[in-house]
Amino acid sequence: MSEQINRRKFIRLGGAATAALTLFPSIVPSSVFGKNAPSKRVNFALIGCGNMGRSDLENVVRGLSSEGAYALAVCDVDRHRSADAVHDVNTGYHTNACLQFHDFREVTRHPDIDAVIIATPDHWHALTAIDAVRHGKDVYVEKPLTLTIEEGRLLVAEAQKHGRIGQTGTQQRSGRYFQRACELVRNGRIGKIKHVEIKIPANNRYCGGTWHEEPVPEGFDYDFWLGPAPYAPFTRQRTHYQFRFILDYASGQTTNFGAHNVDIAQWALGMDETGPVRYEGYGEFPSTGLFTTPTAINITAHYADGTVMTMRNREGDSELSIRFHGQTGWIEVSRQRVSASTPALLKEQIGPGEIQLYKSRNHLGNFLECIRTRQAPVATLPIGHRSTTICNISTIAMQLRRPLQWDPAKEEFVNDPVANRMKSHAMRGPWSLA
Amino acid sequence: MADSEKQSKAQPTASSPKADAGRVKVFNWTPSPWEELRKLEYGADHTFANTVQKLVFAAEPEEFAALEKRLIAVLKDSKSTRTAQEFTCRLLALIGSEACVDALSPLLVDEKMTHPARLALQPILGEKADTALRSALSKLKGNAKAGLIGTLGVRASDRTAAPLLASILNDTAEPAIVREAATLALARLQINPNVEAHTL
Repeated sequence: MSEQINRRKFIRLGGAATAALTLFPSIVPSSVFGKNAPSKRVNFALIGCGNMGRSDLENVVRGLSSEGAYALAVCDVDRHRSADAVHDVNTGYHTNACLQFHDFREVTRHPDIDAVIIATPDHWHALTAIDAVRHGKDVYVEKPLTLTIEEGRLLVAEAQKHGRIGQTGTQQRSGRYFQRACELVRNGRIGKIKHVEIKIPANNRYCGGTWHEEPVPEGFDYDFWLGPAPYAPFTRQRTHYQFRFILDYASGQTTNFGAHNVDIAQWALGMDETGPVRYEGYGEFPSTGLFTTPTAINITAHYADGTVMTMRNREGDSELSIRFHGQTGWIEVSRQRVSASTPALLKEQIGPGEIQLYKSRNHLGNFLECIRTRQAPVATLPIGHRSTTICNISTIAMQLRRPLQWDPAKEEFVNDPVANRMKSHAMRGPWSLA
Repeated sequence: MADSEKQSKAQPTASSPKADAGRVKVFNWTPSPWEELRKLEYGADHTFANTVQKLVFAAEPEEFAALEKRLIAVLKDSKSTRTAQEFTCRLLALIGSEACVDALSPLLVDEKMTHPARLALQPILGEKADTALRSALSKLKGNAKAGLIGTLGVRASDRTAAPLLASILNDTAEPAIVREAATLALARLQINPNVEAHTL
C-alpha cells in the first residue's frame, strides 16, 4: 500500500507544509517555473464523455490550464458524445488539436498521455483503470470506484504494483465544509462518535414494468458499451445516465451518492483503511421492469469499536447530509453547510498538536499536483475502494436481507458463501479481471 | 414455493367458470414462479423470475441442493427460453455446485450462452468445473474464447490449463485479443496459485 504510506508521510508533514503544497500554484505563478512548458505539461485524456466526464474535462481545460494541465484526447463508444467533448476542448483552447478515440485501449497505450480521467458507467471503471495503470498512466476514477469488491481489490493492487497515482472522484474530500467537519470529529470535539447518520437521494426515475427493444442509435457502439456486462437488448433507458439504476452496471444511489457520503464518514472516523464489520440492509427492489436497484434504501453498519453508521433515503427535499452524533453533541455537514449542536464548536481552531487532515481545495487540481510530486492525493484508490466496498456490501445486504459479517482485513464475508460469491462475477468476453 | 405450487394444481377446479358459477371465489390463484420463469423474455414482466431469485437469496445452505436441482431442470427444459436460461445461470452463480456442471457444459460452447454459463461456473470450485472449462477452450473462438480464458485466469485453480494457454499464446493464427487473454491468465496461474473461487 505504497499510496497509503506516502499519504501518511504526507500528512506528517503537518498543516503548514500541506498548505504550502496546496497553495503553491496560487501563490507563485506556475509559469515562473515553466510548468506550462510542453515538457512539464501533464496531458490528460478523458474516457467516458457523459455528464461527469464533461464536467471534469471543463475543469482541465478551463480550471487547470494555467497549472499545466492539457486535455489531449477524449474517448467514448458514443461517437456523438466524444465529438461534443472534442468541440468543448477545441473551443476552450481555440485549436483543432483534440484527439478523438472510440476504444479506450488506444488511449491507455498512447505514449503522449500522462493521466486518464475515467468517467464511464460504473461497470467499465475497473477494466479501464486497470488497463491504464498497467500501461503507465495515472488515473482519476469517478466514484464509485468499481462495480464489484473484487474489481476494487485488483485495481488497488495493480496501481500499487505499477507505481501509479490514483485519485477517486469523491470530491467532497476537497470541500471546505467536509474537511472542517471531519477534522472536528476526528479531534473529539463532540466526544466519541456513537452514530453516523447518512442521507442519500431517493432511487430510480420512473420506469414501467415492461420495456421494448429499440434500434441502437447511429454512432453508438452498444456492444462495446455493454462490454463486460451480460448481453441485453438495447433500450434507451438502459444506457446514458439511467444505467445507474440497473444492477448489471451500477448500484443506484447506494453507490452513486452513497459513495460520497460514506467516504466522508470513513474520513471523519479515521477508518480509511478498514470499514464496518456487520451490516443489516432492508431495501425495496422493483419486482419487474428495466430498473433493478432498490427504490428504498435502509442500511445499518456496525464498526468494530461500536460506532453505528446508517444510510437511508432522504425524505422530501431534505439535505443530502452526514450527521455525526457524539457523546457530547452533533455535527452535520452537507455541500451547503456545516452545522453543530453547539455553534461555537465550528469556530474552534485545530491546534498544532491535533490531527490535521489533508487539505485539498480542488480535487482534480490535487490529482494534478500529485502527478508531479508523486505524493498521495486526498482520495487515494485504497481509500476509494474501502468506501465503495461499504456501499457494495450494503447492496448485497439489501438483496440477501440477512445480517452479514464482514472481515475488513481479509475482505471476505464470514460464513456466508453466497455473499462471498457476490463480490465478483464472470465478465462477458473478451473482458476479464485476469 | 410449495404453497404456490399447491395453488397451481388446484387452479383448474377452483377457478374454472363451471366450478365458480354462483360461488364466491375462495382465493386468488397464483402461477408457479418456476413455470413462469421458463417463459421469461427480455422486457416482459419478470415478477415471477424475481420471486425465484428471492427464494435463492433467502435459502439456507441445506436448501441449496434442492434449489439447484430445480434450476438445473429449468436449464435443461427444451421449453425454457434463452432469457430464462440466462437468468437461471445467474442464480446458479450464487448456489451452484459440481452438480450443475453437466447442465452448463453444453451452454459453455454455445456462443450466445457461453457468458451466462461462465457466470455460473466461475465460482464453482473443483476439478469438474476446471475440466468443463478447459474442454471448451478448443470449441470457442474470438471474444468468447478470450472470455473463457479470462475465467481460467481468475479461477487460477487449473494448473493443467497452463500448457494449453501457452500454446494459444504462441499461436499466431489466434487473434490478438485471445493471445492477450492467454498472457494475463498465464500470469494469474503462475503468480497466484491460490484458489479464489468460493466453496459453498
